[in-house]
Amino acid sequence: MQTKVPLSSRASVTFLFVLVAIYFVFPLYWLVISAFKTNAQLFQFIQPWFPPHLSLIKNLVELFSYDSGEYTRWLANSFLYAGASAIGATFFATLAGYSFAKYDYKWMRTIFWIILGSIFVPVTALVLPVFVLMESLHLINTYWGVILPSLVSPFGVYLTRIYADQGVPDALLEAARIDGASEWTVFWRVASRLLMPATATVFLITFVGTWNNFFLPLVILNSSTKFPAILGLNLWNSINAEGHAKLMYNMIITGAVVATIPLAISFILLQRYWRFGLTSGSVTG
Amino acid sequence: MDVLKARPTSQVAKRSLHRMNVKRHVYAFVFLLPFLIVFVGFYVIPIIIGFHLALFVSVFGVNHFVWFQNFVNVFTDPNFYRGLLTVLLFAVIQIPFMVIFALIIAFVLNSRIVKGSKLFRFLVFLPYAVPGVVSALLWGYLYTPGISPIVGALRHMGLSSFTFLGPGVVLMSIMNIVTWEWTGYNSIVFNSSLQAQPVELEEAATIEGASWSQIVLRIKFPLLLPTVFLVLIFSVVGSLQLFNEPFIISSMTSLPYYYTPNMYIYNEAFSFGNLNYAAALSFVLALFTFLASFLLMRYALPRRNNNA
Repeated sequence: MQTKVPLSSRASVTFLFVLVAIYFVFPLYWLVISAFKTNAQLFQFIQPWFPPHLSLIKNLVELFSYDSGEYTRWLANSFLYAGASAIGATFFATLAGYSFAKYDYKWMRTIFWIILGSIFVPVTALVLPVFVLMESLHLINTYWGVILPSLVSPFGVYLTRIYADQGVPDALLEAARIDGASEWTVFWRVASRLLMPATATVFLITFVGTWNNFFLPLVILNSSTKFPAILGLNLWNSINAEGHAKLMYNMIITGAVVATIPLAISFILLQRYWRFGLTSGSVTG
Repeated sequence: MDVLKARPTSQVAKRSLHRMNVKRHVYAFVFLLPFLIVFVGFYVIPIIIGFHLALFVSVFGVNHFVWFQNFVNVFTDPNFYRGLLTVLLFAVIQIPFMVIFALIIAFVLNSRIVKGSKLFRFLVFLPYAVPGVVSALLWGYLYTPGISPIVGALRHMGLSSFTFLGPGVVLMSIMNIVTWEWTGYNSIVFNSSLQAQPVELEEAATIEGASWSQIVLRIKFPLLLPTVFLVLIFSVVGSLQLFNEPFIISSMTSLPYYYTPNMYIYNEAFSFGNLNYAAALSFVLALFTFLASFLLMRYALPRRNNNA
């Protein structure tokens, strides 16, 4: 619905919004522009504009080949951690959320409230205890050490539950049961399809969460060959900050751009899942 | 099927209904099981292990049981309180600013005063798609003299002594990073919630001649309050856990190892190797976090009308 607003205030609001947009976009713009600069240019040519000679390709080659391709490895690790965690976490959370929504027996309520309460347990408070657990399981400095704790998504369970409550009509499931479908078939053939928007959202959230996770891999991993890209960038930054090694600003900046691209792509691809188009009407059709 | 068509009064039907019911309970549990296993394994058990660990003191690699001595030490540890004070100061200033900023964006987007709101929504949301560590690095460079065009411009304007990374300013600089990362996300959350509001109320108010600001303040904002409080609680939890941004920034300027509680925990555990004490710190921090969200829910949550 269009509310009537005078043109002058419309113009001033638009002007303010342009300023706000600049605030949010400028740092990223600077990052991308800087990926076109050499180390020397980053300091000599600080204007936020393209340098005279573009060095993006040179930076990318240096980024991916430095130290026999350690960044390439970090990036592959990131995909492994985020992909494996997201697939697992989404599967577990979808099943559990569906169960909570559509069976809803008394004994399940307490379990649900415990899970719901755990959303408010700060994840970082768990990192140290998880470290101790992984130490006793001999999983320190392993891929599993990062993936296993990332499989737990209480928020994913909650999200699937509230979505299934409204988006998966009981009548539809009952109809499938009357047609002789087993509980598993009801879930797999009927409910899971309707749950897709929720599932995609949980996948996106857990993928992004693991890709961005810094504290957990920082604590669990100690050999740089197992690092995800985020941790690798931090390693380069701390080497760089010490100042006695070679300057790595160009590689850190280019690496930061590269580590952000998969996230940006997944956000754009899964954009429509951010807002739930509830299929609550599907039973009447 | 026949089972359902049959009258449940007959014994056979009763029994088969019962069997079906048991079967459903079993399925409900089987669907829950995979999640419960990882939840117990990597959420519940670590908490128990961590608590157990916090009851010991390690002397030359030998653990001695000391009851709650570590917790007592945490509660009298000035470094812990310094860290806590830093994040509380952070929360008190940054959260209201960010929430109001996000609310304004959401309401203006919702009112469709501005053209091209789709593009704007995308641009505002962009920082959320950037990994937190990258945001911290990026802003860290934008704060660093020599490489930053912002510092360069300020120097050019004659503010040559201004620094983003000085002792008094660095907390504000970290607030800015977090605001940049989360405002867009929160405004999208508010915006989605606004779009889910029933249009009838707004239509009725418009017909009655209510102005835009009246509609926003009297109708939309009260309906949005539960979402605002959810964002508020998550922000408080997040502030108390502040780690990534100060950790990255500490490589560009010197920050004390106990700058935030989580930095203290990390350094205690991995720089000084004092896992037991770090575990106790983790618990006390979690306790404070719970307390903060509980108090928020108890006292700040808008009271619902009981008759409604």
